[in-house]
Amino acid sequence: MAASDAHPLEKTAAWGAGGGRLGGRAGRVIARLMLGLSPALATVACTAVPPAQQQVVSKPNMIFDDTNAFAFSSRLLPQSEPGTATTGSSPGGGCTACR
Amino acid sequence: MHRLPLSLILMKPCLQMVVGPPPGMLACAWLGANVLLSALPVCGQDFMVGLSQERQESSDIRLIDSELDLRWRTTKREITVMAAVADLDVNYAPNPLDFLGVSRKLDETRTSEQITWREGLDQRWRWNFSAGGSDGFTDYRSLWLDEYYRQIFSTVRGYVPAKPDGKNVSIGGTYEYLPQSGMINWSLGYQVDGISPSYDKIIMGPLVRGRSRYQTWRLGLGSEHVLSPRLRFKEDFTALQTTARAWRYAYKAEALWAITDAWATHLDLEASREAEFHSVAASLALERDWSAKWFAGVQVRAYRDNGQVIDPSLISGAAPPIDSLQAQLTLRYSGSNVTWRVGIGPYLTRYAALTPGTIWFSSLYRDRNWCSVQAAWTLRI
Repeated sequence: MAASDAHPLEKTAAWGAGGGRLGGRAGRVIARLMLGLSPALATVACTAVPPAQQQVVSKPNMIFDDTNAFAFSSRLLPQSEPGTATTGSSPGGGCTACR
Repeated sequence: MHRLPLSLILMKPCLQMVVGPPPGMLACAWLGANVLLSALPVCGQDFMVGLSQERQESSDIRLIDSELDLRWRTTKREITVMAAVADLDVNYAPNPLDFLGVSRKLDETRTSEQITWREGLDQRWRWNFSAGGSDGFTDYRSLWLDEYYRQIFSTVRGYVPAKPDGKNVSIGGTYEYLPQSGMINWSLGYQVDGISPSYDKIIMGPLVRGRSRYQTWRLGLGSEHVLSPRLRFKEDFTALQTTARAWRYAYKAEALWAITDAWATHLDLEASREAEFHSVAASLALERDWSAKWFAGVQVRAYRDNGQVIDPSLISGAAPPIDSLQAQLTLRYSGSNVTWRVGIGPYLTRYAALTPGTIWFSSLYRDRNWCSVQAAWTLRI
């Protein structure tokens, strides 16, 4: 997940100036953070939380639901954001709400 | 023979109901219907009907995406049929230096259908299959570029009008290794896309038509965990191989954290990379609920990439680096039978300065202030 060296077009850093530095330096930081977090989360995740203690995480807004009423994603943003177009799971991917 | 898409057959009556009456009457009907439907006794909830619409509008572009979902679910399986209609309205304007270019209003519709089958919902191992297709331009950028090339080359021998379409199929599995607490999933997908290609012509030479057919293989791996009584976490890794392109890798992590019994946050981090192209996005939402029925919140999302331009000195329709920022206020209701959501807010897109190679696309890649509106409604019976 580590990003490559900065692209030649990366010139500015301030938001709104159209720069791409976040995709470079900050992107690498985020990528390393994600990679570092994954094993830790996997380790923590080996401990099951009993269903009796899951009242809060079972509320409608605490579930990754693929119905549009509680979905977080947008269908139109990928038209302007090339990097968003392919992220996420496939249409057939699993989620807790799919049970 | 012209084929009438399933999505248009299903969606047309619904859309006419929505756009026909005046707004006041529509709002009263909406509230009345929801109150009435909420009073219905809770049945098995084997069927679900969902209608949703998303709009983005700027000074020169209007995008409307409407979707109808029909779902049938038992304890063992779930089948979902989705039909969608997307309208792309673009006021095409050439670069002022393009003396031969003509301003024109473009209006295109894309239809798409998808069927998803999930099997073994009562098992720890579950399978899912999905297939679908679409007909029409996938986004406003490809529509704009198609018009650009059409105005220059449509009278040249070898030009072929574009007919974009797409087909996809995927298979996947989920293993729930901790009952209701942890699951891992994988998916393998394949899709074929017909796109509007680019054109080029050297003096006295033939017209060169770019590739118009792409195949994509996709591998997805993901997991979801309940890490604590207040924290749910989900992550997805995707690898894609598309014809004549480098591998694309994408990662997405989402966390739902209940700060208190009434306040909850949703954090989303995304990153993708394809050769020299890379992008990152982050989103944070804060929401308060009342009795787990009414939910009001605010969401902020930022995105940045370094552009798809490979050589700035060559003329290219590839997108330059972009920053975007979205803020949205949301209101949701979750009743026994009815669930709905509305969201509204600004969406700002800012491009990097154009290079000699992208100056001809200045009106396509210009900064825009969009108004974004989302509405979704679901009925379970």
